[in-house]
Amino acid sequence: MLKKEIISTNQFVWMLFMIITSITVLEIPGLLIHSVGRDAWLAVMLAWFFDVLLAIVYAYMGLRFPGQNFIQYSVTILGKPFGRVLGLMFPLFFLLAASNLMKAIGILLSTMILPKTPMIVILTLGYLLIAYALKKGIEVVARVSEILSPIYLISFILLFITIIPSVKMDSLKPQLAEGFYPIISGSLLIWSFIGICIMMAMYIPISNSPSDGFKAKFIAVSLGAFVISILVTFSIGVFGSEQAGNMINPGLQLVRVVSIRNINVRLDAIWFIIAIGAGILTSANLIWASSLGISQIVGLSTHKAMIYPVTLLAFVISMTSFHSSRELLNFSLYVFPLIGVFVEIGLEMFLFIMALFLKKRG
Amino acid sequence: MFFNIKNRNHKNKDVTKKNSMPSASLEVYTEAKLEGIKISNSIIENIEIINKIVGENTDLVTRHFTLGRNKLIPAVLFYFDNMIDSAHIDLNIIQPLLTDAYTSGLTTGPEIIKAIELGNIISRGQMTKVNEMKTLTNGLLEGDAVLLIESVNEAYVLSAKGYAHRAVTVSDIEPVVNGPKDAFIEVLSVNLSLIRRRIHSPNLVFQSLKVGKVTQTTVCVAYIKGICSTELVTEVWSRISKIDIDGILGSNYIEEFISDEPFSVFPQVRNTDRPDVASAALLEGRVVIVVDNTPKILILPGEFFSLLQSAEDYYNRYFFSTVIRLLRYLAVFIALTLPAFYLAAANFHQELIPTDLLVSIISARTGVPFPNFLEAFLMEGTFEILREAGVRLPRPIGQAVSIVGGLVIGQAAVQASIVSPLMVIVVSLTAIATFTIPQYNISQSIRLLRFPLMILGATLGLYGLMLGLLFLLIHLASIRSFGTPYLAPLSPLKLSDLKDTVIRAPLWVHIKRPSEIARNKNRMDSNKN
Amino acid sequence: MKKIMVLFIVMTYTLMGCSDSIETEQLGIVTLMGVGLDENKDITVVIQEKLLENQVTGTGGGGSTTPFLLYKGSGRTISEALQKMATDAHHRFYFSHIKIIILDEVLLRTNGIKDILDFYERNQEVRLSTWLLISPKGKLEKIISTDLGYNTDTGTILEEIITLEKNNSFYNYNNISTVTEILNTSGRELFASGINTVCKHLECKSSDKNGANEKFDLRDTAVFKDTKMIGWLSTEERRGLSLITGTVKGGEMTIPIKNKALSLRVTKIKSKIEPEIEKGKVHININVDLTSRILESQTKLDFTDENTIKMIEQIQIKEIKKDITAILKKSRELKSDFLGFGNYVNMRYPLFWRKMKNEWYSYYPDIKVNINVHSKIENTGKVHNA
Repeated sequence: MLKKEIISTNQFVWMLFMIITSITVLEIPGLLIHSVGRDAWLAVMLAWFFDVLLAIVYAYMGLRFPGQNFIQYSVTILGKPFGRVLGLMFPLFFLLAASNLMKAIGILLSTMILPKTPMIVILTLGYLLIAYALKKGIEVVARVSEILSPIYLISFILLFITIIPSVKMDSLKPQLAEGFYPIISGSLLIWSFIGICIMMAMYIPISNSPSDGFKAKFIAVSLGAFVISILVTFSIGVFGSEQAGNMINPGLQLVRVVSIRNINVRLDAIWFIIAIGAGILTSANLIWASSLGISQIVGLSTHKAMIYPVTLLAFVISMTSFHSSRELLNFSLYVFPLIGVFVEIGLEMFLFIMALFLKKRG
Repeated sequence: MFFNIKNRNHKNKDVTKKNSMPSASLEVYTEAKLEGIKISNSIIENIEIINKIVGENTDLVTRHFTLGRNKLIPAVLFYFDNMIDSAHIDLNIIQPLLTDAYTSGLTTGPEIIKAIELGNIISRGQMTKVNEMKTLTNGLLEGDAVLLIESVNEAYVLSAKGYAHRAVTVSDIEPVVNGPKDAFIEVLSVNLSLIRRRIHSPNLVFQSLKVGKVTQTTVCVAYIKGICSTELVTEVWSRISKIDIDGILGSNYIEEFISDEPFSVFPQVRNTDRPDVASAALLEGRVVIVVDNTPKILILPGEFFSLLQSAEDYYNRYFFSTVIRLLRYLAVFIALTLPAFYLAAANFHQELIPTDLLVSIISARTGVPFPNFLEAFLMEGTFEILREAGVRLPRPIGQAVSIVGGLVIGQAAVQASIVSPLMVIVVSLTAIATFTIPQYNISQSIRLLRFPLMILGATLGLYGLMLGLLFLLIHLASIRSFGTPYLAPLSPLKLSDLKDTVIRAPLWVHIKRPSEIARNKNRMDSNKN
Repeated sequence: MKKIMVLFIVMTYTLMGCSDSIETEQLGIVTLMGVGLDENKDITVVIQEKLLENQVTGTGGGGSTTPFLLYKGSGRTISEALQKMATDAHHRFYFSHIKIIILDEVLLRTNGIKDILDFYERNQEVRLSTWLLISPKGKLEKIISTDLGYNTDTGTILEEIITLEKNNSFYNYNNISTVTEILNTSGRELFASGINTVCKHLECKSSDKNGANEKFDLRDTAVFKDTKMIGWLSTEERRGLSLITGTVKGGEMTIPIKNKALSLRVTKIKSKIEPEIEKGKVHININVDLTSRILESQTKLDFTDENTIKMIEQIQIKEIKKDITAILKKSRELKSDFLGFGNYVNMRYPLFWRKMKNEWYSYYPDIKVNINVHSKIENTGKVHNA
């Protein structure tokens, strides 16, 4: 059973798309609209552009150190003690992102459909599912993503098509009323979230064609950015920027106002549930990356032993952090972007420069 | 205990009464014990040994005769009554030996033996010479006749199988409207002939082995050389040969032993009783296992989507088949989730239900004493009981069940306000949806999985339902059936294979075989370039 | 053993989840909600719960004679009022199926709309696509308690009326989402549709109290300034409003021709408001393109003649211009920019708007407005001439 797990490029794309989309859609569109206003889509586009640039670095590093993810090559580049400390940042970041996402899912569920159910029930069951999925291995998670992600994308497309009649494009005007500053700050915000696709560095070593890493990432990020920008645009178009920015989850509200020929289609819970499913699978991916990274740093031969402890740790973090939706909001708006930018961009660029400087190759 | 009594009887032979237990040798002949016993020159010795092994059976027929007019040589023919065709024995074995030999001028025993050696006297087709007692008894027990001749240290095993069996009839389990209608029966050789009749290829291989220490059932592995991958055949062969069981009474015995995930609810082997389906599977590069005494054959690997296909799909026009296939997938989804979804919507997400429907649900439920969840379980449970009763009962009484069931569930229960009419609709829709699934074994799994999903839907609403479905999806994605991912070709995605999975594309589009299974992937010459 | 443990945890946890489960028959489906003010300046809430068919027994029996139940309560907030009501109801009120929300004129004139809307935005059960109507002073309870005798609840009836009329008439219906959006938009004031009861038959006895002879009238439009309601519009003004804002898709209009009447159906309306800045002053250009067909003619006109059609088009344009002028006049009188001119300025000249946002209403009455109307009659019905 020690056969090496391999994912196909197709699965690579879908997994990455799911990670990007669910982590952004479930956590920040409201925040983004709140801070950027009508130009939110521009911020998304800008973040997309930055992210593609960043992806080049990641893809290059993946090829320069074949068969290694960034935790491994940070050790290769910087040597054991320092490389390990630096490399530990990535799994910890994934752990943080996963537990943060699960908490966001829990809060959304308890505000939207299960107000009286204790948070511990929602989270325990979610994490049990994650543990089960990870026990089966990343290959299985990849296959499930390959089925669930297209459904997720289709649910978005259906939503967009049905909502078009209610969209008032006038609400998007005027553009650039506040100048460029909010766009740039907003793009940093959203970049730190779609930057979670540095997961690609974890996938490249197990991909069946590592050279397609950049292509896969490009497709996934473009799809993700497309979905997010349309979502924020339409949210503004339907609700106006003030109201949309005020909502916890504009996407869900958007589904609630879908009507076909004046008949209200009450299918919001179903869309919401698909999004939640994708979110749980995303967390599974992140926890996999985290446990793999930690096991590599500790020096274990297989990451299977780390799965349960890491899942449990994520569960504990989710349970104990953020006692209210406001705390989560503040965290997502101020703290997470800082950490995200530091890990996703800072560390990787540092490694990149060091690799060139020290002329290290894998 | 029992042995002791028998022992006593055996000892007090003199006082045995008319109907008392006849003497039987208490020796148990295992495979190992039979091993190495050679057939001797002396016919008397041989008869003694055979009598020791199987002699106490009433259905053993021992026919003594002598060969030749001069130099008489005693000979004996053993066979089990009704396992052989007695007309064959008379016409093709006994008659040639006793009469025809003389008319052709052979008079002495040795002459006749020589002629038999050359194969000139016995006109029965299959005749093998054996010199070991083990093979002799095996032949005898399988329904062959055994000829022993004095001073010949070999026996002739003559195939004259002719036991009573069902005729080849219309398939009960997978009936079709168009398409061939014949179905496998309990006899292995007939079943093999039904496949052979469809595939006239020298590369079609039937290889058999014996499974079951006591029953010694013949299990035949069929595949087409060059299309089927050798690893698959080797794997199947090794798994079957590892089976350690005393008896195989049906093909699902084999299925349970060789499944990859024995703890999974989902069947990982496809069953069929249709030779055309078996042939189609062979042509796709699959392995078919035919088990003696079972009309159900096994097809490996059996992935999820192949279990949802019906033979009819290929005999109808492809437009219609495509629509039916999509409809069937919808039906599977309905059968799996409808009651759970109903519970989730009625208990948690009442906003999903249109106002008028919600009002009618409420008015239907006023007066029903049970909560939604209990009502649903009650109904689904009753339905399963009724279905089981309908299957178990003899056919003439089976009709009564449907009448009682229809009345009790449909009419009286509603009128007595035990259940609401809407629940009846939900349950019957679910039931009808399960009927559209062509494979009985997967429809059983789906029926079973409905209940945990109902619990989840009733306790956590759509979140619970989603968790359940995601769990199922992860489980399905993790299973492999003989190396093939269970959800292939949907995941891992093989776009070219989807044309025979999601839809049923016209046959001339199926240029390639399923890529996860077949070794030789080209179905058509046009694909060679 | 481990598996059994996990299964046990899952079972106990799922069963704990039951706390959100509610049996359908415990729900009271609210389809209509009215909010008003009582004498103590507290908020009164009147809600209508849809009754099930088997609970309505008609004239005989012990059940209710109306197809709905009414609950009334008051408090400082809507939630408080609902809480008080819930104590004497045997159902849990369920708001996901609210079709219509009716707000009282007095409430809107004194308290404003913004505080009221917060409840609907925050509550996860109420949908943002719920329609919002405004009842004239003192009529709220009468409207909600009126049983029209269609054997169904008022909320459903009103929703049907709105979906039917929405695309076929010059009325201005807004749902919560639109109302909130307008309130949040800079340079735009709110308008919303009103509701009233009128007599169904031509002769109406005022003594008739049971409502069977009445019907709902949803033609009125209320206008707001700074979240507070300030007045009602007349028929002409309403048509002008809907033509300018482009919220309607068409409707019927009758124009006078030589002392006779000609009815037209407007099938397509395209309106465009374009602000323009010249020497630091704002002009507004209103362009309205209409496509109509002839519904009914009492005249002896020859519709095969191109000039006749041209003449009709001209008369229609004149009528439309009259409507638009009327609404402009009203808007200037009330000093309320419910036509959204300020918003258009903002869209086009955001920097300019930021400067003049605060003193917009000092400019507003003097802004020059050019009205351009184009009309095209493309269809004369099944016949050419009368």
